[in-house]
Amino acid sequence: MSEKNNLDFVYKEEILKRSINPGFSSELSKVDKFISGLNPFCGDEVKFHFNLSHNNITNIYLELEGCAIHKASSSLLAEVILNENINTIQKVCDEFISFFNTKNNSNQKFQNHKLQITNPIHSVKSNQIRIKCVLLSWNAIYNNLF
Amino acid sequence: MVDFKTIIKDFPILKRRINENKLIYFDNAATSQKPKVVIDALSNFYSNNNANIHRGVHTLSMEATYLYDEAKEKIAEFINAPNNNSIIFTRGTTESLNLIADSWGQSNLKESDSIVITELEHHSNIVPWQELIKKTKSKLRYIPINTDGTLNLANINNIITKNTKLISMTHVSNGIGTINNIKKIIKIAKSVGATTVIDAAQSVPHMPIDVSDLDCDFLTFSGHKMLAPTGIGVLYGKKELLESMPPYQKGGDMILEVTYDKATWNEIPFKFEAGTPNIAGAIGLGAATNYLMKIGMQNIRDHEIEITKYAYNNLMNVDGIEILGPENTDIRAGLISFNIPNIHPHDLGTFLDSKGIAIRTGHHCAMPLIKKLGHHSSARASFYLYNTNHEVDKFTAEINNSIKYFNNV
Repeated sequence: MSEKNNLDFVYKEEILKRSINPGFSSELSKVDKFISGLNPFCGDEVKFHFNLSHNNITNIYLELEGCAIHKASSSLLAEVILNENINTIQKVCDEFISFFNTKNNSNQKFQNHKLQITNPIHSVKSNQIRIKCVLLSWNAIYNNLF
Repeated sequence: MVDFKTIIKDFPILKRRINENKLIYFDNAATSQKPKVVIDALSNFYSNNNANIHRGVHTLSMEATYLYDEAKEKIAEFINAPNNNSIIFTRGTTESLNLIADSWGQSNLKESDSIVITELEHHSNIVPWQELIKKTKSKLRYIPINTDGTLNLANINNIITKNTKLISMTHVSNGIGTINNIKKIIKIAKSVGATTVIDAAQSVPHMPIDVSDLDCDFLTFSGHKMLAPTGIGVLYGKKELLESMPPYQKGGDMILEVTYDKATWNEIPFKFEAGTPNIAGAIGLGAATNYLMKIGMQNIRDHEIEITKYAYNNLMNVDGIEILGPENTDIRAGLISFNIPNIHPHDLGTFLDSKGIAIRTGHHCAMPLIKKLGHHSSARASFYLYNTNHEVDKFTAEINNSIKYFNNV
């Protein structure tokens, strides 16, 4: 980083790196499930393409348009839910969304250990207006995967 | 000669520090800051004169009525409306446009008619017409834009035809700053007998506007973008048109006589101001109008031309920047919409906020326009009378710092 200031609290280096390379960039030859999300206030957009096998997510292709926080958060979500059974994903998403929507719980421990990889993005909670960037994809999956 | 450097002292909020930096407020196209005279007008009204208007016979009601009506007179003078009764107070530009669509539109349009708008419009000058054509089965047509964000009038005679009943267009694009030649379009509209609506939300606060000279049928604007409180705006309409239109909302104040079976309507402007209006907001708008008139709208426009030229030239030196809209400040208002490669506008906005600089990021409620220009969103700096070239220097320097910050990961 060229400079250190309170911005680094929002843009942790790992988040910036992940936003530049969110991964999940290989298109799927066939798509079993498609879910999209759009924030009409800012234009952030996400398109999830899934391969499923016996209700397990076996492959993900991610199309992203938007800010660094949205891209990094979507990438983290994809990593969390890859190889998971879709019946467990709603609970995982709910746990993450609740963390951001509940005040004074910064030290909360997640029940699902896979959510630990989301730690670098938790500090965005201090920037009220950017929480929607974190949650766009998580809400899209939570509301549409079932 | 106005000394714009001293104007900052009139605005208490501009003393604020944001994230340990002096506030630089470049989000004036979204809303403007308020001078002390406007804040005092609200405070004085609630401290000394508060009462409902037009009905009471007591002293406070008479004072409140006088102040409300005086504000209306001031606004009529400000835009050179021939008649105070042509000024309708609304919640803002959006409500003014919806009023026209619902009241004039539903009673004047039929299936073979068309409405013409432009590709530059704010959502508030698109959606009411989209909904209106569903109800009336009329058609909505667009005047296209060129790549520089100016209107393409090459086929205008095929777009504005004898079937065109209404032309509604922005004077200044809130998304990219283009100033349209509305006088020319109004003239074309008149040649086919179409009614004209000017969305002046981004022009009335920043430049002289004369509705008598423009000869438009309707003109709409918002108080909060011109130093006044939120929740108050204006619909100007030609007297005979307003008189011919049915009411938009029904209730108290807008009636002449009510029986258990029916009601008759009061005369304008009361017919369009149902219920207790935003009295304090109107008085605040009157105070803001007075303040702007003392400085002079041409002086404000000249100041904004200078700062916009300075900002445009500075920003053009930023690596890879793409500025949307026309370069020529004769046809660009005091706002610059832009994108920096590899930095999303939201991230730039958060970076600048950490330096005390407020800009707008996103699609600016002009989603079709920003998409048409090949973007999903943009960053927008918009200036007003209290901004300075010195602030532009700091703004440009911090944009360059943001490029280092986001690209040195």
